[in-house]
Amino acid sequence: MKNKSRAPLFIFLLVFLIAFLVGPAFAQHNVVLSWTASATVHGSPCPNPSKCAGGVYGPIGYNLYRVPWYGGSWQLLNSSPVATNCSGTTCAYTDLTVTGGLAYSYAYSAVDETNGGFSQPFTPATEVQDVVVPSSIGGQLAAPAISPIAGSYVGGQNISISVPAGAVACYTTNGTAPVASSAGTCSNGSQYAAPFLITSSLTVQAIATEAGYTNSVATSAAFTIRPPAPPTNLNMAPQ
Amino acid sequence: MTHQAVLSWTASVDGGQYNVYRGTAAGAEGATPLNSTPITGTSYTDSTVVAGTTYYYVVETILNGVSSGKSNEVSGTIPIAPPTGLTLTVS
Repeated sequence: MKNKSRAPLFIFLLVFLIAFLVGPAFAQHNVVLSWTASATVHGSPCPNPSKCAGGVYGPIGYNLYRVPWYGGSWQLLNSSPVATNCSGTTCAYTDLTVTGGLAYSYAYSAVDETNGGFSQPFTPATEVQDVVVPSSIGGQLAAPAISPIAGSYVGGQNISISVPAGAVACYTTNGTAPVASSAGTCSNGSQYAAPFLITSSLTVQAIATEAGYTNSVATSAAFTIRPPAPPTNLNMAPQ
Repeated sequence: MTHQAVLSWTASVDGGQYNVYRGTAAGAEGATPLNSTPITGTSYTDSTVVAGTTYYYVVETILNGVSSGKSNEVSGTIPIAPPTGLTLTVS
């Protein structure tokens, strides 16, 4: 038997305004959540004082939760109940920790004083809002440039790859397509760091990747490496 | 007397480097070049030869890590120095 009463859990229809802000310096995704504040303000007299610790009720703030569609448990986003981000009847919270290309479900619950603020249960079934964060907010990167140009060469060639400033290149030389699973991380191929020497015929393929942008299309350059001519007129003088 | 074999050749590409291989039978040069690092010039002096031995040499061009294959082969026998200090005493 509970010896501590539970104040009402205020559940309101969430009104989500989902904004994807584009910052020129920080191409970072975020999700802006907003919802209608409880009509009952914190400190309101408790209609049934025997059930309200301290004799007051009304939420002291809100907790926001998130779960990615690929699985996992609900995660509390805010470190303390969100209360100061309310203006009039609208409260807001910005989730800066989302990843482009992933989908999330969000939920919120009101936090009442008697539960101490953080253990308030919530029922996702009535509170979720699904959000798909776009994979790109900055457009698609320009394809890398591979130097020298594709073609036939005598002797080894130093290959350099250039990409737009801020982006990194993922490249392969084994004929497979380079892949960047998350922005800036090559899951197939190598991250380009410096010019590299090729001494046999092969095809270099490269893509550009950067957080906040769609990966570029691949640039492909086929190189044929031919041997140089051997020396001629070899002469020996025994002494 | 110190013996040696002086090799020289004509470059066929610009910017090439060279490896020199030696054997003691025709077409049987070793797989490891005599020179520890590729040669940038077009001559090489082999000072590890023994008098009276016949040596065979080939040279390859290396251009940015790519080998040309072998040049023509040359051979020669290191001369045996005649005795010195021959004296004639007439009595």
